[in-house]
Amino acid sequence: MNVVCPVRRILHISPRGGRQLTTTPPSTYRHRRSLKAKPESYTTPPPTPYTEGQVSKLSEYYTDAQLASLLAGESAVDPAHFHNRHRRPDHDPMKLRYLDDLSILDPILDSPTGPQTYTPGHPLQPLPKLQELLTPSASTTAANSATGEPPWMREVSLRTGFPVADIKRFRTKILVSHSVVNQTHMGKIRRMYCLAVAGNGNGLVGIGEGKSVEHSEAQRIATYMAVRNMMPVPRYENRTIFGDLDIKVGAVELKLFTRPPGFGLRTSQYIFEIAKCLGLSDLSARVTRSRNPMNVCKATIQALRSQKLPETIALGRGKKLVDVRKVYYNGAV
Amino acid sequence: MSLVNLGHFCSHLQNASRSRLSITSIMPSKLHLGIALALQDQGFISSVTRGDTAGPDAEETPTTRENIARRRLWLSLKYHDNEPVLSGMKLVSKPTKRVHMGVRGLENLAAGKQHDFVQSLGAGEIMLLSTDRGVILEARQAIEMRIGGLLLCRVR
Repeated sequence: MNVVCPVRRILHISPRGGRQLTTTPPSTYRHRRSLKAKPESYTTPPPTPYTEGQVSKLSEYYTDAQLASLLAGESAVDPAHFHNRHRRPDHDPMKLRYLDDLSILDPILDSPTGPQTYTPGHPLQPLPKLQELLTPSASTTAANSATGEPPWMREVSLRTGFPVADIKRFRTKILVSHSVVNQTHMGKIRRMYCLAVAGNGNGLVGIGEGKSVEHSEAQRIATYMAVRNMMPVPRYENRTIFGDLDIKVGAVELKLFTRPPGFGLRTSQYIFEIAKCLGLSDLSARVTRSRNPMNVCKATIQALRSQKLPETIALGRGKKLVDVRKVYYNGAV
Repeated sequence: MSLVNLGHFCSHLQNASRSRLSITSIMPSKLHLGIALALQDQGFISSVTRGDTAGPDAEETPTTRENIARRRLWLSLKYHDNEPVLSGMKLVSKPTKRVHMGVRGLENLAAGKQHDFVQSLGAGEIMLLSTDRGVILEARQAIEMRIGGLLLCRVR
C-alpha cells in the first residue's frame, strides 16, 4: 500500500517545538500508531526451529528436562506477539512520588525512635525548642569542622532545615552592591550594602540584604539572608508565571508577562537573575517609572509571590477553569 | 444608559472589596441590575437583593413614586483564602468614548490577544458587554451566540 505524499514547502520558520498551529486537535490515539503491527517486510524473520547442531550446543548448558521445557516454551510463543514485545519499564510504575526525601530525619516533624507511652494532655512528641535547633549539636560540629564548610551555611542549614549539601548547590548572586553612609556624632560611618538572590532553580527563591563595614562580610550576610528568605513560588508548567502581573511597589511599576515555551528570559538583568534562580525559562518584563535596582528586585519578588493560581480563582468563583492550551490544543500552542 | 453611574459602580465595588465588606448597596438602575446579575452568574458576587437605603428587603416591596428615592440594590461580596474574589472592576467604554466590538474582536480578547486598543482578558477575567438582545452578556457567552456589542466593563 503506497501513499504518495505531496511535497510540503515550509514558507515560514516554525516556533521551537515545530508543531503547526491548527484548530483540529491532534488525535488522542496517535500514540497507538506505534502499537500497530508493521507490514510484512518490516517484521523480523520468524524464528526458525533450532537445527540439530544448535540443539546439541544447548544441551551442553542445559539438562534434558530443561531443554525440553525451553523448546516447548519457545514454540508456544506467537511470533507476532514476540515481535510486538515491550520492555518492562525500568522504573517502578506503582512507586509513590514523594515530595520529601524521607531518608533524612526532619528535626521538627520526625519523632525520636523508641517506645512512647501516651499520657492524656501531653503531646507524644516533645515540642522542639528553637534554641536547640539553632545551636549545633556535638555530633554535627564534629562532622562539619572536619569537612570545613563556611559557618554561615551551617547556621542557615539549622535555621531552614536544608541540608548543607543542598545549600552548596543553590544558585546565589550578588545583584546590588554599593556603599551607604550614616552620619553619627562620631562622624560619617561608611558601610557596604549588598543585595543577593538565592534559589534552587526549581521553585524556591528569596532575596536578602546585608550591610557591613567590610564588603565580603556584607556579601556573606546578604547571601545568608537570601537563603533564609527562600520561599516557594508557583510556576506554570515549571517554566513561566501564571498570567500577566502588573504591580506597583513603591515607585517601581513592574509588568511581568507569561510567555510560550522556548521564548526565553527577555527581561532586564535583575529580573533575569531572579528568574534564573527560581527556575523560570520563559518570561518578559517591563519596568516603568523608577528603575532603582534594589527596589526592582524587591518588586519582582513581591510580584512573583502575588500570583493568583487558576485553582484559587476557580474555587473563589465556584467555576471550573480549564487550561485550553493543554486540553484543546494538547500543548501544541 | 449611564456609563458615569457604571463607573461609580465599578469604583464602589473595588473599594468595598478592599475594605472587606460583606454586603454593599448601589443605585438600582436597569443597567446595574443587568451587570449585577451577570456578576452573580459568573460567581463574583453571591447575591443580588432589592432593598432600601437601610438594608435589603425582608419581604418583596414594590417600587413606588413614594419610595423610589430610597431604593437600592444590595450585593453580597465573596472572599476566598483571605483574598476578595472580585478584586478589580474597570470600565472599558467611558462616557467620552464608547468601545464597540464584534465577534472576531471578542474571540481575540478571549484568546489572549489585544484587539483595537482593548487589552486581552487574563486568567479568570471577564468582559461584560451590552448587546442588542437586551441582556448583558459575558464575552464568551456572546462569542457562543455570535454577537458583539458595546463593551461595558472588565472584572477580575
